[in-house]
Amino acid sequence: MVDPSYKGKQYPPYEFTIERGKLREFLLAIDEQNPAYQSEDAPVPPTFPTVFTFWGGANLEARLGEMGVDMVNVLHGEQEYEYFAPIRVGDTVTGQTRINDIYERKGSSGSMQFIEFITEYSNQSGALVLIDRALIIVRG
Amino acid sequence: MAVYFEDLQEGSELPAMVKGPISQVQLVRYAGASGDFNPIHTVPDIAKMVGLPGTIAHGMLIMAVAGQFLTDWAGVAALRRFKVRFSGMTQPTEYLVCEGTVTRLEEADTEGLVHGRLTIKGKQDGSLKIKGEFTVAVPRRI
Repeated sequence: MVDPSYKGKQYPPYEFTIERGKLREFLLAIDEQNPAYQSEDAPVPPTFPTVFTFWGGANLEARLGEMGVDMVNVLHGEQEYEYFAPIRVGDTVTGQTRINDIYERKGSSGSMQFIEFITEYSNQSGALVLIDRALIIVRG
Repeated sequence: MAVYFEDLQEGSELPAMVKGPISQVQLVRYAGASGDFNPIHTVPDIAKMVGLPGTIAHGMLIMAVAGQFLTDWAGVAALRRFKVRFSGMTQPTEYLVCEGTVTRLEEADTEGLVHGRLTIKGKQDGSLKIKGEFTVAVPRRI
């Protein structure tokens, strides 16, 4: 049972600098061969921001652990990105995450809890580049 | 080949894309690349222990496939909004079929906004993996 008082919690900001090698590793993993991603100031593919979360220091496992939730019992329910400006190799983004909502739904297989994380990313010039909304489902 | 606003209408279909097979090695690769080391994606014994049939693909890997489907069509700088709901699990050996439809066109000054929805289904059993919505900006001919 997730403590609903975590709703509204703000996490400390974290930074991530986009390196070409990291982009290449990600492209290989998703089997993406579009030559547009090969230049020195290449844009990143649409779901690359997931790398900001996990490698930028937003430790999801720790965030969930703090709420008493084991990572192996969660599923990713929904993911949304809103893109406001290009994000390219060489950029440094700063992410600021908050818990926008925590709620419960009863389904056929018992009740499930939902945690909605919203992260706003700005770039090195201070411009808002991306809003990331992730809905996490806690099973059982 | 570029997509132009004038070439699209409500109901236009995106060129379908088939991707796969997803492999266990790819899940290990994706874990490292993304930084999502949840063992349900990489360690079969742990996946089974929590009631899964075996390792399952990261939802974000399947969303990445959907992203490629969109950028192959509209270009790598076109996306303005991209939302998916993860509906079903994907297991290694599965092939994925991406399909999409334009639902609404919105005129802007030098570009047009194209709204649409997409699905990814398993090729073998037709099971729904993700269902999504998107908005892309495409150039106008004028």
